[in-house]
Amino acid sequence: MINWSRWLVRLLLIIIVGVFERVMGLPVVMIVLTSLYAGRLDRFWRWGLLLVVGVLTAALFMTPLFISWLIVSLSYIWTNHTRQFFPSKTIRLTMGGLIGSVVLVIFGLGQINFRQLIYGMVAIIFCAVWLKRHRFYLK
Amino acid sequence: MADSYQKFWPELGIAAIIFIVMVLGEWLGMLQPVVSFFEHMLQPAVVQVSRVTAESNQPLILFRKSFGAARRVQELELEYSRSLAKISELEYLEQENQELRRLFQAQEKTTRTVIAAPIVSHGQPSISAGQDEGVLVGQPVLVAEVLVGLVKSTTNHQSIINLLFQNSTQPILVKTESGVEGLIVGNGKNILLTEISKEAEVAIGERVITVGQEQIQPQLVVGRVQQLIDQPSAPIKQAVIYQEASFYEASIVEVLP
Repeated sequence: MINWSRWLVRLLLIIIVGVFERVMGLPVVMIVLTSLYAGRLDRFWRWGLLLVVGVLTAALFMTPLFISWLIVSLSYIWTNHTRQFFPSKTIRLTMGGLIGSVVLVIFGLGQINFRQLIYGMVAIIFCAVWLKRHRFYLK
Repeated sequence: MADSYQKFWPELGIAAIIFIVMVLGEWLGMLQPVVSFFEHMLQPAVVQVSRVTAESNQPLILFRKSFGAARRVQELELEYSRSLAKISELEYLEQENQELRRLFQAQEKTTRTVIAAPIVSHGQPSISAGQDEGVLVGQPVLVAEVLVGLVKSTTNHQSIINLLFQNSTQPILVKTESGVEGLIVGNGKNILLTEISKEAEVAIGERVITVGQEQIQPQLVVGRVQQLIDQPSAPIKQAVIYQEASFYEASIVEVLP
């Protein structure tokens, strides 16, 4: 049974992170959080969350909706369902979050600068440490 | 592990179906209003977060600027006294201009209209104004009356700015106070005044203003000549331009329609 309020709180958290990352210029943590949360929901709620985040990402990062959908959904699948290919959490997180966000920014904003990449690297390290510390798991 | 892998293809299938629906939706223009609505709703939050981030960076900027601050103050004092002299001269000219207009019964000079927009991101220079506010690609962006960039792309409520130092910015035709013409280009780090002939005399500190071209009005201040680069083997001279105003230290910009 899905708890509505928990779903909404998670969505709100993703929105807050997304707004902050719009200012920073790279939605790394937004994509990582979405992939993690979506991985724990059942099918209906999961695709609902991914759809809403896809629309939000398109609105924030000026990308066509189908591109942001592609990035968000593929990041989710990559992070949660490719354990067989890449057992390391860090690799999946790095590739899903960082590469996904970089591709999204290049499609939306046209280019990426060094400052954004530094933020991306710091954010990924932060995510990895945070995940390990709080014993979050990836399926 | 097996469960995770078994879900891989069905999940990919669902994602692909939704992707195709979205491509069709975008093609038919049905999804644009939805994205535009969210963009409009999120803008106030993005502007607020951007403001808070800029304010939290302020001590760092002040600390960085404190190096060489004494010399900078001296330069500004000198510049201020020069500007005062210039202002009195301009006031006299303005008065003369008005009298001439009255004689020729010409209409009063129309004031320039601008679109003021808050900055939403310094990471990827963007502002919170788009097509709905009248912003078009290629329009000049000013900070404190100084041309800092051009609009690169727009959506309904946001625009991306190409700053002059970025190497993707289109060249801008400019001239110095002494009348030497050149092109403004960016090299990714500095703003360069290029295509200056070897014979031309350009002095350090000279003001650089636009000549006027499609979408870029004349007489817009670009900056001052900071350094001259005159390599013996090069057929032309270059100059590094310093701007008094910076996009990264501003919270609001003006777009000239």
